[in-house]
Amino acid sequence: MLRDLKIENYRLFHQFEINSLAGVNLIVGNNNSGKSSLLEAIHLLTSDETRSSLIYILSERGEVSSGMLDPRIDRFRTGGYQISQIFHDRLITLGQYADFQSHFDKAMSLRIVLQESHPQKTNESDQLTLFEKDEIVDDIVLGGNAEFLVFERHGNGADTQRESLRITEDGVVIDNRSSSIRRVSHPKGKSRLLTTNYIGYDELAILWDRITLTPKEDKVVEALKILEPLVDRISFTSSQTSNSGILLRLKGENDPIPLGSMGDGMRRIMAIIASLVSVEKGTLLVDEIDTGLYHGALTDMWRLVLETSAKQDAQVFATTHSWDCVRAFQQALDKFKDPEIGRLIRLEKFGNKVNAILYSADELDIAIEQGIEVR
Amino acid sequence: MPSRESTAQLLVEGKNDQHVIWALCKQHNVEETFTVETPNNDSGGIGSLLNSIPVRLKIPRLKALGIVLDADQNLEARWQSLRSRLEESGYNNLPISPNADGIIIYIPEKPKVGVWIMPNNRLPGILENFVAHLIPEGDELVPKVENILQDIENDSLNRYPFNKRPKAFIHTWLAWQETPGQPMGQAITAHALNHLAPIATSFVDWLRRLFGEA
Repeated sequence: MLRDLKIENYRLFHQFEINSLAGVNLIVGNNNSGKSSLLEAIHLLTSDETRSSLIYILSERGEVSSGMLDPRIDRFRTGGYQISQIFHDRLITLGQYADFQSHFDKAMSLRIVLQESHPQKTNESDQLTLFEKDEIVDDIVLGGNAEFLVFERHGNGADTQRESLRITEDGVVIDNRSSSIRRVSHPKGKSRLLTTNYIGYDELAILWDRITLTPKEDKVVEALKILEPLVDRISFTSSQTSNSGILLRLKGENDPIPLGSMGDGMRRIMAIIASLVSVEKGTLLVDEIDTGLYHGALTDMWRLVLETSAKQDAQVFATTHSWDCVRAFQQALDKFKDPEIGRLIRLEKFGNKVNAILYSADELDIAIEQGIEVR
Repeated sequence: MPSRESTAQLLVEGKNDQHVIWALCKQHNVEETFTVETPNNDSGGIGSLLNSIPVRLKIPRLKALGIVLDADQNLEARWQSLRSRLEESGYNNLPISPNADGIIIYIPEKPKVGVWIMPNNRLPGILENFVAHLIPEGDELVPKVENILQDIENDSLNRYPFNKRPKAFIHTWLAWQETPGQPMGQAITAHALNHLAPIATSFVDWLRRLFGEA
């Protein structure tokens, strides 16, 4: 579990530091105060597949560059992911870096740095596995002046691990699959980032494969019951859309009902809990956790997140804008056996600096009881 | 839900403090640059006010927090318990005892903090002692009120405990005014009480220093 975090040069964060992180952390703050960026930073640091996680983040943000005719090589270049936005000053210059560190419970760090040459000659086809494509990214496509985005990871006393991605000199990671950029799927591993984007059938189906017929299935059913108490069972069918492909059996009904007919909240709460039960001893990051959920469901949602997080030994970071969601968090914590599992964090932009203001469960009690603003 | 976003707040113990302060500000034409907040819950009391201070000091974009509380029996003890809450929030170098004209603390990059301990930062007592100081000088009802309280106390007829005596005093006095039984705030507005009394001027001065250039 991360107890502390230092971020340097990633998006809004020039220098950012936060200590006293807890098991379940709710993050508030104005627009553009760095909430989503903080989730991304934690995802990158805790990811088992950092490069895929970076591409996933760029894809979810829509930070893509479309295919175009490149006059320098007189050739059509396929589209890709624009990385310049990930750096605080948004510049693509050699030596440019973003840095992520945590010291407790275990020391780990990640540095993403732009270099001219490959750090160590590794298999060129490495990059291709990211896109599951056997086409070669050759120097012609890259314009001959390619640079490398190098990922250096330290942790747990092990040797430095290095991986790299080739990028064009204007900072684009080329995706060879097609000239139009598709949404990429979530990287594998014990760190999951749920953005505010619609969660499709494929993503849920992949999660479900490892949940079905295990006790984790009950947790997901319990989650759906928060919104629809009659839900009894879930089933995935071969019809591959999340609207018609996921069927629910309701008590007292003969025919199953498609998930899609039951509102966005059902898919959202299913995605949250299905992700959480899939990251044992790992990390779940949820942007705008209350999206699609009515306020009456929020306390139950938090209760389930707290219980499941404690049981899975998984750390949770979620963001919200809503007072109802903060209050529901406090109410669920108040009834939980160990309220200290929860922490409220406000990000506050102060000129060029982002500060983190922390509230313990006790302080959150006082704030909610006395109606003191925390957002 | 928090009622509004306020970046300058005066925190007081209860509704009576709120009304007295609003009335004084009105009489002194103090600009409405701050809100007057109470602990706003049923459990109430000085404990929940003190406990809320570290949480209030984290209010987003807060520029200044004023705290008005009663000294009660022991001004030093009250100040010490407040001091320790402020130190928790990173306010160091606080005076050993409060200044007569109210405390104002500046720490770089933190909200300005002001403290006024009723009645006058010097004596034990409560809001009602402060208001008693607004009774016009030489008022002829004061000795009469004093006598009647003495009388009933001598005969053990008083139902109030000793620490509530200032309340019994001011409300007896208010009962005998042109509009009998006006609340303290209204009595200030009606000029039955003198808003220009030195204690009131000193208090308003403190408010202006705290919130004036907040």
